[in-house]
Order: sequence, then structure tokens, then C-alpha cells
Amino acid sequence: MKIDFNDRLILSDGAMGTSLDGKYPVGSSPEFLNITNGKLIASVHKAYVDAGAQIIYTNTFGANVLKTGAMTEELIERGVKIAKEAAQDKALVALDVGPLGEMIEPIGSLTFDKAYDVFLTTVQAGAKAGADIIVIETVADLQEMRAAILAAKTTGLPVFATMTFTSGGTTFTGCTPESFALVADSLGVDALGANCSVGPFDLIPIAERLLSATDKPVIIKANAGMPDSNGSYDITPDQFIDAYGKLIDKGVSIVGGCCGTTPAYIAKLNKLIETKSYVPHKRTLSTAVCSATKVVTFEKLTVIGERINPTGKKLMKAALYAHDYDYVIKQAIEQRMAGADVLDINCGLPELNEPEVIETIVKRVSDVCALPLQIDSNNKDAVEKGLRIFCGRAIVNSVNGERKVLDNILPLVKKYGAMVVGLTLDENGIPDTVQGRLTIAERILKACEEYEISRNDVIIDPLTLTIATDADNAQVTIDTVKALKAKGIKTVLGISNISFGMPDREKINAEFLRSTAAAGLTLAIINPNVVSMMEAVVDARGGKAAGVFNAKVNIKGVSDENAEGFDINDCIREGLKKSGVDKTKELLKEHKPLEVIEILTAALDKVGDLYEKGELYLPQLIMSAEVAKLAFDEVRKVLPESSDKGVIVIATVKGDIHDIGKNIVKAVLSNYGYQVVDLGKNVDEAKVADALKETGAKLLGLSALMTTTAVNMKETVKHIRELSIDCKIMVGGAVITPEFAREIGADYYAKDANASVKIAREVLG
Amino acid sequence: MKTTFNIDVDEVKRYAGFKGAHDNKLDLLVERAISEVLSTIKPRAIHKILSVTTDGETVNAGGLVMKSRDLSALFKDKQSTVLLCTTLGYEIDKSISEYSLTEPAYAICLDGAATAAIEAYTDEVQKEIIGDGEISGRFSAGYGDLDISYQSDIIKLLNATKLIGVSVSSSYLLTPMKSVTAFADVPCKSCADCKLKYCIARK
Repeated sequence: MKIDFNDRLILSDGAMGTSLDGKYPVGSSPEFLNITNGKLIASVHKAYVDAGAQIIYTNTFGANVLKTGAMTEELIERGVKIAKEAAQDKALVALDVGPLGEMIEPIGSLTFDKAYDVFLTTVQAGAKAGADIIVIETVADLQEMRAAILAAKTTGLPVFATMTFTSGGTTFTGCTPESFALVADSLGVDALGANCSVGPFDLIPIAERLLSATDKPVIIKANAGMPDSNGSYDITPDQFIDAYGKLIDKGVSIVGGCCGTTPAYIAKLNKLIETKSYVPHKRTLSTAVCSATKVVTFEKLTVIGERINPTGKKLMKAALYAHDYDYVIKQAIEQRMAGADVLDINCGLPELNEPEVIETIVKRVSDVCALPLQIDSNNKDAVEKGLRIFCGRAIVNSVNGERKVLDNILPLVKKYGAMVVGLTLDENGIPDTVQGRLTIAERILKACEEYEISRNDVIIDPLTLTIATDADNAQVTIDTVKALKAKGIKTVLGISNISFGMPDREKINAEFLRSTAAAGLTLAIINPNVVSMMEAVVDARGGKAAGVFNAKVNIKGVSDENAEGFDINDCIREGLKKSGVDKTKELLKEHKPLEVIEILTAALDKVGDLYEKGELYLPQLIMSAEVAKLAFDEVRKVLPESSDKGVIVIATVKGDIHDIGKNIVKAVLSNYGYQVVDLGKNVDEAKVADALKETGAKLLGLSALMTTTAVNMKETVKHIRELSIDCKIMVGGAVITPEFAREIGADYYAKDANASVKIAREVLG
Repeated sequence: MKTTFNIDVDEVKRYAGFKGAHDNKLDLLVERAISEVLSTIKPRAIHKILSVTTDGETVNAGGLVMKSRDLSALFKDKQSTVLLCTTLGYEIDKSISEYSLTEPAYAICLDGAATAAIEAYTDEVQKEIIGDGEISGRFSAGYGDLDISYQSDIIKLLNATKLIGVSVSSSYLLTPMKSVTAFADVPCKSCADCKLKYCIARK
């Protein structure tokens, strides 16, 4: 039976402890009266029911295995039974779950998992005994509340959650009403509020903050004021009612009392309710993520700090492998001080226990840094561990358009109440067009709907591809952002991807940030330590961002028109196709074809050296290779056999669809004259083995970009070796390292396209 | 009722472990630490006045029975005691944690300043409870032969967790870290001038 607590005024009970004061021995606790003096407990319950209470709390506040040990289950069972007998059918019985008495890490030494287990046994006992509701009350620490709510939700019973606040507006551990409301609401409680610690007048401002942070019913159970050193409370029943009249007018709908209140207070509350009507309230706080102490809404461009990610970051990679968490935490603090609003946490590396490491990092970063986090992983276990331990509301990065991925990750997003990033790619890769990406976005949103995740909690990443490979990449992304903004969908982009392989990266990144912000970008993943990026952010927030992305980048270069006097080296280096072909034709008149091939190869090598030195960039490398290809074609016209320098099989491993790197390698290798058999992406080891057998290739190139797929690279190498196929294997990719290459039994580690040429030369000649 | 107190620089240095001469760089750190402590802490206090009896081996304070010869000696010829709990809150613990990563030398000074602060605050709280005059020393669980495990009973008796957010860990550490529980002496003067309205010895 689903009970509806919405849209009506509900009266709960008052204090139990107050009525039991002095009736149990010092050093013992009131729960034991469930066994030694059940009649007394029943009489208190009855008094509240007679006073009009519709929900009564069981006498089990301190009944948990940490406090009441082996007696716990019996105390709970008796407590629920006594309450149900007293309630008859006039009131619902809520299992009262109080704080554990010990603080959770880092404040105390109790682990989150242990706290969860203790709460679990408590709520299971209560559910078994027949409680109608689980109420978690008087908790001061948000992490403890999270453990309790997660445990309570497993019973399937309605869950109420109330925290204890000080008159300063936060709990003792600094948790704000907004953070609590965001977390409890997204974890799926049925009602939330505040109890204990202060009197009803002091709870009015806290109630107001709770009411504006949730649409769920708000509960207020105030103390009868503050106790003096003899335990006498200073708020009379009439004053109590006065405050509650105000609370109800503001929208509080579940009312009762805490320490110091008696059936007399509840009877007066009952009379008050009869004269009052339920006042609806509406959440005014927009979609947000949070830590216990900080809430981040997305009204202005939100900065996600990207530094805690080993991809392409040597020092971070080393720190993670060495378990140097201090380094990681320092990066977190630095980013916070530079102005990041949210921190991305990615610790995916081959041979690293990602779930374990991410749990440690999330824990340690949030110990010292109050920012909300983005859990960045494709590993389901890592995502769960990160979400579970994070004390707040997080973002999960990411899902995509692939059904398998959606079904894998979205249940976790729902369970832990997180927001989720959806990438506009799927098993077929990344669509070239705006419409293609929008279609995937819709698919993601629909899947989220199936899992009851609101569109407001989804952030679409329309993907940033480098302009080094295609200058149009930027505009497609910008236009997709615009289209999504028009539909009211939030967007995020990894800004620095735009300039991969280009010179002047900072300038390109900043300009891209400005133009995507002008198009309506919601969140930007950047390095906040780069001043020009934060300047761009400030401009964007102040509405001073430029609207057009100028893809023209200052690459020193010449054109065919002024190529007078250029030799073949110059033509290849400057990427001059027409002049290159002309020069080759001239060379073929004066030299033997094989000699011309040597000349062209030497010219390409020179370009490779410049690229390695950083004097030439990826687009230029590609353009040079294209000139060389045309030049080699001219030679082939005269000497067709010269084209065969050997066969190389290349593939992106199973589960991975990143192929830009592989395609560049393919282009460069074939331009050097090798015959490249490209198996494509997401290729399993059997297909690779078949290709090697068919072609007789003596060199295999494998690429993987993700840590989760690097393991498939390992599998593929193993498979090839097991079949005793005679070939050398070179591996590469952003997360691949020389050490990993060695570990998995590869013969070569190819740092980039240039390196692959050197390897091909060594293996094939 | 806001309790004001001063943090003694020499006390801070003592707690921070400064022995003997040092350069004024450290003085600057101490100055900064004192200032940061004062602006960060959220001091709170509660107390109960308990009637006390003892047979020389065991003390009964307000119904709480504790085995301790040392405490019994203190309570010899006494009829009441003040049981108090004070804390500076969790915020300063967090700050000290963070600085220990980014500025370890400063973190030591901050910790020293926080320790000096909780002691000074507790002195002031004692003064407010008993009125003017010399305050006595404090005797806490863990002192002498008063077993530290009584810390949980003391917290429970005072209802400290609910009222001021102080808890005890399973290893009997108080959380927040800068917290104190203690029995303090009730110096008996004339009942007419005495602030303790509920003392059982009141004539």
C-alpha cells in the first residue's frame, strides 16, 4: 500500500525521551524499557495517539548494534510491536532511527560501509517487525544521513529524513539545508525536514530554506526551546503553537515535537491543525549538484576542473601509480583556488584498480575540498564506488548512445541521485552532423526517462574534435550546443580537445570557450589554472563572449604561388601539393625511380623530426604526408612494383571506437609506401588474428584510447601469441605507456605516427 | 551568552612545540594562526551540576558510577561537581587537515593555537558557571586512574551529541578533535552568593 504524504497536514508525535527521563538507570538507555517496562512505553504512545498524532515514532532512537549490541533486534521488534498495539489503526508507526553515536570518516573513525551495515540491520529489523515508515532523525552529518537513507531505501518502505540544525543555519558539521534537501530528495526520500537542537522559532528560517529546496513534504519537529543545565525547557505550549502557525503558513506540512515536548504540546498542535489549511510550497532552487557545504547551480557558465585525470598527464599518471594521493589532493585544492566550481575525478589507468583508487581519491579530495565532484569513468564498479562514497550530489561522466552503456550506468545514476553526462556517440562512432548528434542526444534523454531520470538532470556533451584534423569540427560542435540550448538541454564540453595537435593551444582553447559559451554552453571542462581560460570564463559570464569561432590559426606557411626555387624537401615540408607533384616529375627525369623514392622518404623523415621537435604540428604533418602520397603515386606510375614495402595490419581494439589516432598512423604509413590493412574500430582478437593469417602481415598495430579497453589490447596480444602468428606488434594510444606495452608482451610502443614509421622501417624495411 | 576569551601566544608556542629561541618568521605564523582560529571556531559548551558521593574507591556522580581512586580523592568532602563539555566545532579540524597538506609548518601552529583556544575557552566557561574567583583544575576521563572508556558515559549523561555536536569514537577520541570533557571543582562559598541554584548542598 503506497501512502501519500503529499498535499495535506499531518500530525506526528512529541518526545519520547522527555517522558522517560529518570525512569531508566543512569548509564542505560531508554530503548531497554521496551523489554523491562513495555507498559510505560505503550502509555506514552497512547497519550500521543489520543492527543491526535497520526504518525508515532517507536522507542528505538538509540537501538543499533554499535550502541545496544546483541539486544538490538529484540529491542526494535518489541518497540515496533508496542507502538503498533498502541496505535491500533489510528496512527502509522515509524521506526525511529537515530544517529549511530560515532562519526564517520574523516571526522571520526567509522567507515561509510560499516555505518551502512549498521543502519541496514536496524532498518531490516524494523521492516520485519512491521513498521509502516522508516524515519531517520537527529542526524548532524550528511555522510551518516546518506548511509542511513541508502540502507532504508532497500526496505521498500517510505523514508522520512530529518537533520538537526543549529541556530546558525547549518548542522554541527556544516551541512546546509540546501545540500541536505538536494541529497535526500535525489536519493528518493518521501519527506524531509529538521528536528531537535533548537526551538521552533529558530527553525523557521531553516524551514524556509528547506521549503525552497524541495517539492517534497517538509517535516519540522522542534524542541520545546533550549534546555538549561537542569533540563528544563523554556518554550511553553502556547509559544510552541505560535511558531507552528507560522511554520504551517510557510508550507511545512508534517509537524510534531522533539525534546521537551509532551502530549500536551501535541494536543495543542492538533487543535491548531484543525484551524489551518495545507499550504503548498514550490522548489525555487534550480537543478544543482553539491557537497555537504556547497551548492552549485548552473545559472552562469560552470567550470569543471580537468586536472585530476591521467590521460596525457605524466605527473598525474605517475602519482596514481605510486599512490601519491597528496599530489592529487594538492591538484584539487589548486583548482579550487583557481576558481573551479566542480572537479572532475578520473583515475582510469591500465593495471590500476580503478574502483579502489577512485574511492580513495573521492574520499580524500572531499575531505579537504568542498566542491561537488564529477565521477569520470566507464568502469561500472568505479562509478558505483565513487558515487557511493561521495558526500553530496555528483555528476557521472558519462553514458553515450550505446544501449549497453545506458543500461549499465543509468541504474547507478538513479540509485545515487546523480546528474549524468551523455556523449553524442555510439557504437557507430561520432556523427559528423549536428542532426546526427542531436539524434543520439534524444536517444540518451529517452533512456533516462525510462529510468525516471529527469531531463533536467542530463547534460549532453556534443563532443569536441580537434581542428587539426578538420577545421569544420568546431562549428559542428557550436551549432549542436546552440540547438540543445534551444531545447532547454544542458551541455558540457571538454574544451582543450579543440586544439590537440595545434600550435597556440591556449589561444584556440580560449576562443573556443568564448564561442561555445556564447552559443549557450552550460558547463566547460577546462584547466582553471590557465589564466587565459579563466579570463575567457569571466568574459563569458559577463556576456562579453564573442559569437564566432575563428578557426584560422596562425600556422606559418606558404602557398604554391610563391614556391619558386623550392626543392622537393621544401614542397613536402610546406604541404604544397601541386609544386610537390611537379618537382617529383622533374626528379623522375633526372633520377632512377628507386632513387627518387629515397629522396621522398628522406624529405618525409625530416618533417617527422621537425614534428618531434615541436617545430611542426599535426596538421602540417598530415599535409606533408599528403604531398608525399601524391609524389609516391607519380613514382608508382613509372615503377609499379616499387609500391610494395610490406603489409601492416592496424586496428582499434574491441570496445573502443576512437580511431583518429589510428587513422593518422594509417595515412602516414601508407604515404611512406606501406600497404596498410585497416580493420577499423571495435575489432575483436579473432578478427585481428584472421586478418594477420590472410595477409601474412609481419607487423600489427593496435590502438586503444580508453583504460577500459586497454585490457582488450592485452587480450588481443595474448591471443596472437597463443596462435603463434609470426608478426611484431606495436601498440599506441593516449593511455598506453611503454611499461604497459612491455607488460602485455607487445614488441614496440608507438608514441605517435612518426614513431610508427620508425618501427615499420625497423620491422619491414 | 557569548563567552569571550584570549589566546595566550606563549601557550600557542608551547603546544606547537617551540622550545627556546626562534626567528620571527615563526612568530608571524603564530600570529596568523591565532587570528585564523578566532575567526573559524564555533565554540559551544554545556554542563550539568551533579551530586557526588564516594567511598574512596568509587565515585557516584549524578548516578554515573566510576571506579577511580584519584577521582574519589578529589571528591573527598565534596557534595557536588560540575561536569562540563566544551568544543570549538568541526570547522577548525577541517582547516588544520587542509593546511597539513598545503602548508605543514603553518598547520602545526594552527593546531597549537586551537589547543590553546579550547583550554582558554574552557577556563572561561568554568568561570561563568561558578562565578568569580579562582577556578579549579579539571579532571577528565583518561587522567590518573579514571579510565578513558568513561568518556562515552559522560557524553551520554550530558547529552552532548545532541546539544553541542560532540561524539566519542570507538577508540574513545572525542570528535571534534578540539573538545574537552571534565569534572571541575565546585568551590563552596556562602550559599547566598552562590550561582548554583540547584546544588543539593544548598542550605
